[in-house]
Amino acid sequence: MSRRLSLALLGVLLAGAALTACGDGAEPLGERGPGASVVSLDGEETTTTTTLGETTTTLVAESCHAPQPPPPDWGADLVAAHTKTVDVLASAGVLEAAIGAVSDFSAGWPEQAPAGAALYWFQAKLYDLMDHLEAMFGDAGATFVAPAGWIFGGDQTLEPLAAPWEAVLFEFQVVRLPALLTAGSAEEAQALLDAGALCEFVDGFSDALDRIAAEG
Amino acid sequence: MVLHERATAAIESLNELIAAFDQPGWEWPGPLALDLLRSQIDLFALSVLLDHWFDDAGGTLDGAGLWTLPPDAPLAPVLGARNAVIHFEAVVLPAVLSEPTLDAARARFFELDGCAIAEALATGIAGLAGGES
Repeated sequence: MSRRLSLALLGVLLAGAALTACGDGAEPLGERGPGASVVSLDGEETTTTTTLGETTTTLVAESCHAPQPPPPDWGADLVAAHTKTVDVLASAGVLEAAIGAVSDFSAGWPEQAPAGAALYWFQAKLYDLMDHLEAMFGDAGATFVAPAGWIFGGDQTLEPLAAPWEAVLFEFQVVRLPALLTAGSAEEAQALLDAGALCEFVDGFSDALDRIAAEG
Repeated sequence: MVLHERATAAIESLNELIAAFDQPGWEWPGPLALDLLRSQIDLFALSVLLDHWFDDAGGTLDGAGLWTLPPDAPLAPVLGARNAVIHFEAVVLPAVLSEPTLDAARARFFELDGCAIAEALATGIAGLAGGES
């Protein structure tokens, strides 16, 4: 296994020169392309681009709530965190609706339509947000020490976002989401959704952003 | 260059995750959670980049999140790797993470061929660089 991977990795490294012809104009995760989505801050509708030029309108899950609009004095990083949180919120709504439309909960249902694509984009948006927040924490001088979590020094501005970040790391991805994706019936899946399997964690980010805005 | 960087990052972090599964005595799932997160961030960063390229290449995306490419598309070597992401995310990881102990999780990971994604990525990117289609 490790030898095969090492050889393959060598192939990747050797590939570098050839791949430079592809350019480096790639955009950050989630900024455009199929599945890119936005949600209005004053309503419950989200427009999701399924392929270039085609859009569908989906209701955001009722149990999730969006953060308040970002204050005008926020920097670009915080505004981006807000945008990415709203993206996660929208994709959670799409995923919740997709799971609600699943008719066959036999093994492997999360990788079948309609859940598969929705799950993929929800995870892409969530990891994009997590990566962005991790970079922001690092820029603010915070350090992560497991299992204690993030420790902030002088600047405490971003501290409210640490708890939801850690909840995703230690609970959502390793406990709550696997439980949802291994549900064996519509009733079981719905019960988990009703208990906040998706929205509880998104709401944590919304609440944290609202707190940061309120504390100025 | 971006593809190379993201593919390398994804392969390295998946290798670290696999190595973590191989290391006995770790508390489950605590310390592994960070390895999981890092591997997922790197995997999706690469995957979304591929999505943009597949879209530009005239590919079609179905409701299961799987791409189909025109027969002569130069990105065909990495199609399998990209499409394997959903299986890894929707089936392999939930099953592994639902196991109560590290030993059981490790066994489940290898039973479900969790290494296949890393191998598919590495092979696919190398094939792309070699001009295979």
